[in-house]
Amino acid sequence: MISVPPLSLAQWQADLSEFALHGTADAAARLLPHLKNSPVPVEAALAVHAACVHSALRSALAQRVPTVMAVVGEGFFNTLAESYARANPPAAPQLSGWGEGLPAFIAAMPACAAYPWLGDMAAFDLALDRVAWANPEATGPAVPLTSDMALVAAPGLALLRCRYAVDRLRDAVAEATNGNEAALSAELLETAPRCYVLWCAADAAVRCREISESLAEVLETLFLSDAALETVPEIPAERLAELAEALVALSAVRLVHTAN
Amino acid sequence: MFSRIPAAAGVGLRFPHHGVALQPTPGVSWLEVHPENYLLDSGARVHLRRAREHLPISLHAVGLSLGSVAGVSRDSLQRLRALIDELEPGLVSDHLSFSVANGHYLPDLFPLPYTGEALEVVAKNVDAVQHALGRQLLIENPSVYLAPAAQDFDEPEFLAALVKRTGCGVLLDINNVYVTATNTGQDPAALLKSLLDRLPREAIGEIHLAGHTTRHLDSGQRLLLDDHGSKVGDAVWALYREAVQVLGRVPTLVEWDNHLPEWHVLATEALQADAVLIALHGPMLEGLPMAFHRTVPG
Repeated sequence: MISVPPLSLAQWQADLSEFALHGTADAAARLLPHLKNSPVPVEAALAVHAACVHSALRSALAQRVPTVMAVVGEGFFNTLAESYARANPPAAPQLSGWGEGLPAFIAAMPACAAYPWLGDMAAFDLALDRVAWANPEATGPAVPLTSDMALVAAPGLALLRCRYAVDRLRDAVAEATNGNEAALSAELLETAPRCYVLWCAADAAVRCREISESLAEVLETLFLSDAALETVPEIPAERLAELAEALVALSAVRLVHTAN
Repeated sequence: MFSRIPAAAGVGLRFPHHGVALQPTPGVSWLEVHPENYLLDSGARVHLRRAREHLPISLHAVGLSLGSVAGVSRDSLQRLRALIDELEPGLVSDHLSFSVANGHYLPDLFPLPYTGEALEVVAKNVDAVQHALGRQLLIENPSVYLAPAAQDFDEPEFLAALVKRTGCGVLLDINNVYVTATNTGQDPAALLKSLLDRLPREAIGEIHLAGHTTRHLDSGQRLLLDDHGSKVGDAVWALYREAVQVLGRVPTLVEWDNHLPEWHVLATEALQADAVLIALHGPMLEGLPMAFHRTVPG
């Protein structure tokens, strides 16, 4: 009788995890001598864990990038999600934040070459999802303008820079999904540097507007850079007032009176 | 604000039900959530705070990975502790399983071989969690698909040893008992009896009920999948009656994660659990939230 050396718990966990994520034959081969059919065949039981992992990861990613899934279809999306998961498995159980590397992954994936705008669309989907998680009752960062006035950012305020008109492309994808394939016109595929500001409105809805690069730079300086909040940037007062007015008009930023 | 979970039925709260869960619903005496979905200061956490004003909350973690040889993430524990301090949940639980290995978190509850080494690891991790959270943790019996060829304990022995070593409690998932027993060639009633015989009665702080799916394999065997995607099955209801006959009233949760139905379907399942508790042990008013006390005449 051949005795099988015991498997350490560390090896059990490493092999089971590797098999579930990658389907590695070597990992399965190391596990098999330590498992028994009772009465479910070992291979079927192992497959349950692999299916469970990939199903949960696909579902988490699909919730974050619904437009990408609508573009490529469920079948290809599943392949994409599994490939992404194998290359970038989550490090923490908060799957609502997993998938941030998907835009770059898509851009580098030859099978996605027919959709050069898909990486930008993934970035847009992810940005929308991040803002959707924001607490609508939270107060965003504030920047004092004068001794009794301050600009306060809306919750979830974020900037997205990309090359495609992702907001209009997203609408066109939705129309195409409803049968109007002409909505995805060539005009929408023209590239140019673009900036979008996204924020969570008081009614918890996610808002998005395309803005100029100069406005984006101000937003970034005031609210989104490491140095933000420490000092008012050196922007001429008139120009700052003009930009503040533009930001407030968007409702991404509020002008508030502060107590002395 | 309420802390104690009543020995009545509750339901798992999922995002699509955030709004409707704020309405008093017959059959729903408490709510349970996965804390991993609420660790950020998010809109979801705002909803949970509101729900907490109406009903007691239990936190049922899926990501502590209590069986990991790598230990439990300090960051996860700190964030869970902050959520506990804010919500004052009546119960906190996680699973007898692992999810973290090779530096990755994988969203599955992987089984542990019931060995002395595994007991040492789980006991050490449970001790660390209970110390960090400053409270008792309930450990849920898993749904098992894989059967290790050699183990030092069976599941009831392992759980009983863990309870004795750490002072943790047990979340007895009746659907998991049925799934595990069927998949590993055991009699579900016998496995339940063994669990009830070996575990101290006072250690069982919560019961879970859920649906499962049956898959018929080409080899002719039945494989049960604990997918939480349907109503509680008749066989599981029968085991539940057996369990509460022995245990008395225990807080009982109906879990539903996939193909989430309308809120009233969940509430109906919870009412069915309450009906079992009432049939076996009579009505219970003490411990129910005020929203329900106010409806009681006199």
